[in-house]
Amino acid sequence: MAKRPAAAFMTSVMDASGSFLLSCPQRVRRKTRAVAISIDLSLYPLEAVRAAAYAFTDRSYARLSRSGRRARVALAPKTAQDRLLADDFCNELLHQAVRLQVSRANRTLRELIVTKALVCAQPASRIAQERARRAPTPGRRQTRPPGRKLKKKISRFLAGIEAKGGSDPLGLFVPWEETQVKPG
Amino acid sequence: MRQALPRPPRLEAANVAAFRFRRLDGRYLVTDELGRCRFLTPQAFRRLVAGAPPAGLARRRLRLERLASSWRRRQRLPWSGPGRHVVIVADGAARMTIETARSVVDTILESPNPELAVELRGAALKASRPVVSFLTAYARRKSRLADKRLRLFLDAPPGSAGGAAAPAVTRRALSRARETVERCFRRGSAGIRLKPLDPPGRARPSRRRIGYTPQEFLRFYAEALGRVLELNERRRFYEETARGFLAKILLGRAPERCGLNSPCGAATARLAYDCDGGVYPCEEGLRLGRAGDETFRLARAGGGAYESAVGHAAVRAMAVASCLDNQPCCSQCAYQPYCGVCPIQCYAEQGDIMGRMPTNSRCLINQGILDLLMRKLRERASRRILRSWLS
Repeated sequence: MAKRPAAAFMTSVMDASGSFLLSCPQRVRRKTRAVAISIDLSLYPLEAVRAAAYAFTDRSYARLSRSGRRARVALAPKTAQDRLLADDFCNELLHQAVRLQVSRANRTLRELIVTKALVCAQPASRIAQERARRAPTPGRRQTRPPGRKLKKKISRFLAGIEAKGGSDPLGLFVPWEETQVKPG
Repeated sequence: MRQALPRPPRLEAANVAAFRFRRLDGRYLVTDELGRCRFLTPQAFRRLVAGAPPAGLARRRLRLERLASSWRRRQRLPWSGPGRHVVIVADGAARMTIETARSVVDTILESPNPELAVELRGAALKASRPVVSFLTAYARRKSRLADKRLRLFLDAPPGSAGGAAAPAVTRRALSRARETVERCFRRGSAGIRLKPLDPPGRARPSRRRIGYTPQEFLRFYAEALGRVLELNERRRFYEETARGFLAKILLGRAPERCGLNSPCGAATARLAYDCDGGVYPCEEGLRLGRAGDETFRLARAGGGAYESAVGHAAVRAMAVASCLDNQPCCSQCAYQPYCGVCPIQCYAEQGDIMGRMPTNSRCLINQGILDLLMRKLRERASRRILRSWLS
């Protein structure tokens, strides 16, 4: 029996201002209702695509592939009633992309707040242990931050190196690969 | 035909401090990082964006030391370790044993917080009198030795929350907002707590029968709050949810109860203990555990339980998920300084501790309540009453 051709259609998601966000040709296999979504990687980072596909593993079997600047996600639903798989996936993809963006933008602030909250909850004994571990060992010479004299010395030294105009007698600036690869 | 959108004005970031905004009733509600808010006319808002901010939002005039201390005050709860501990002493046939009670107290007193509040709860506390007596005596003695201030609370009567009546808001109650408020008022309660139904389990059948949409709840809430304000002409009578938000808006202070902090404070500001000794990050986690989902069971009370509970991977994940600066929508929301997310509610409703705010019922309800409160705060008579609730 000849296989029925897969139906293809386009789905567009627009935001409130009418900006174009996503255009993904989807191929629907009529028998299994599997959905294949092609995603432009210039609009969505691959991490977001992976995270969105992962979030759908409770509802479907997900397969990811990539060709050039596009990623392809194939979702085979676990139940036949799941008709909104592709549309829900598009929303989830958008969520993951925005989350990634927000997470990167506020990384320093988030880390500071969360670390502070978690450290404050640690038992006093644990904090004391940590302090003892970091405390200076008696008899061991401690490194001090450089004083004004030392700073001047370092800057004179660096200025001297720069003044020599690129001479590198010790070969410090030669890349590692070049020193390791034998000629000929 | 596609219409061209008006070009947004260019923000002069050099002159203006960080702010968030929301359009409300034809004006712009502008809030800053500390939660100070003001309503601006569209013209004043354009001037703000163009680099002529009103006092308080001028970048060069910010007093950073004062701002930092104010910010710390707002985030007071999560910074000193778990201070609030809820212990379920008995539930139905299940009763806490003396050994478990001892382990629970030992675990509580491992918290670095110098002020501990222990709340004993249970369906039949009278039947568990020996355990309650032991737990109380042992906790008092041990806290004295550990040099900690201890406050013990016995279970409040069912349907109440700290002096405020807490009637169950079911679908049937939605059409009786005024009657519900008046009934609690007549009983002599100090206030009322109008809270939507508990975190909806995704497959809970009773939810369909007694549940409702956030919009339906908000209509009920608006009517009920209106009646609460009317009744304040006779005597002081507050609404607890509104009071929590008002504390943050007007006083800049995090309320005692959790849920309006960032991070949320689960296991970093409070812990909950089941009668079998199970340690949970909060009451919501415990409730979920009782329903059969033990995702948030952190440890079993006993030796080293506290350390393994607060160091649990779920606690870290919840702290990250409930940090509003890490949450799409929340990080840009004008109500961010007053709000908080509950990762367990998100998990129960949407299957992920990192909630999807555009469709999250708690987010929609909080936004609706805050819109309502902001409107009420603009009216002189309502503002006077709302302020009196905080005194």
